[in-house]
Amino acid sequence: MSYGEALVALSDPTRRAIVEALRDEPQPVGVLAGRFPISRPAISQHLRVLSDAGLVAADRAGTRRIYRLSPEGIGALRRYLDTLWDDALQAYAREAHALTEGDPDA
Amino acid sequence: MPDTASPTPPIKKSLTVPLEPGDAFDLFTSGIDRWWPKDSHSLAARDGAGDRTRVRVEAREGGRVIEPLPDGREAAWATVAAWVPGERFATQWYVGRDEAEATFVDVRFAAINGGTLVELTHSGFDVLGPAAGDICANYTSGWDLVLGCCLREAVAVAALT
Repeated sequence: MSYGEALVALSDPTRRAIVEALRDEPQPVGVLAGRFPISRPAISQHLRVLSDAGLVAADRAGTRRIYRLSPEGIGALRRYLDTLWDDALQAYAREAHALTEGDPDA
Repeated sequence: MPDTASPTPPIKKSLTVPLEPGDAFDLFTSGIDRWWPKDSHSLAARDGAGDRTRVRVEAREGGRVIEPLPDGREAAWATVAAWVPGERFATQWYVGRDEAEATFVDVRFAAINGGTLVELTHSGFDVLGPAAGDICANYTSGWDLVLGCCLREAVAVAALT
């Protein structure tokens, strides 16, 4: 999955609220729709964006699809956030080592 | 829209560098332009000009972390909340968003065998309000999106695992 897509998907307040609702328990679209003041097709569209971004997955239960959070997508997002500071601090450490070796341009 | 009531955990990092605490602090702050990965972690990076920008820290409490922009203006990434040479550098961090919705980056320096332990904690994600999403829509990708904009949301979701 792409963390960029995940971040853009989460930039929408309704989609964040859907993610928070699914954090409580997996749910079918009909139940989700009852919790939001928007149409069921609109909820389905939001679920599609979240699913494309790897944050949400669906399991079949008879004729229904039960939506849940996807650990793979969320794990990738967490790793990306972690790497932001890792990247900066590794660059800092490299410069610190270069200074001690007396070669500031290394 | 409902806003999450659960506290969002901070990001914590630590590393050791082979410098005295005073030198480690100076490199981190006054020397930030020497090491900060500007080619990816800067506002100019969005235009592919990150390696030409010059980031600097104003060396005092109340000073700012500044990135000059190509049009001559200056973008503030952060305001210095604690300036204790050799010990602590803390900032209200708000790159990419309103200063009133800053998160908090706290960096501590402590002497250990042969060097300095540097501990970074990025916290305060819960101060960001529900309007964050509207601001986020103005960004498309990259570092400022994450560290400045969608951070609270992304960290909250990432913390679910």
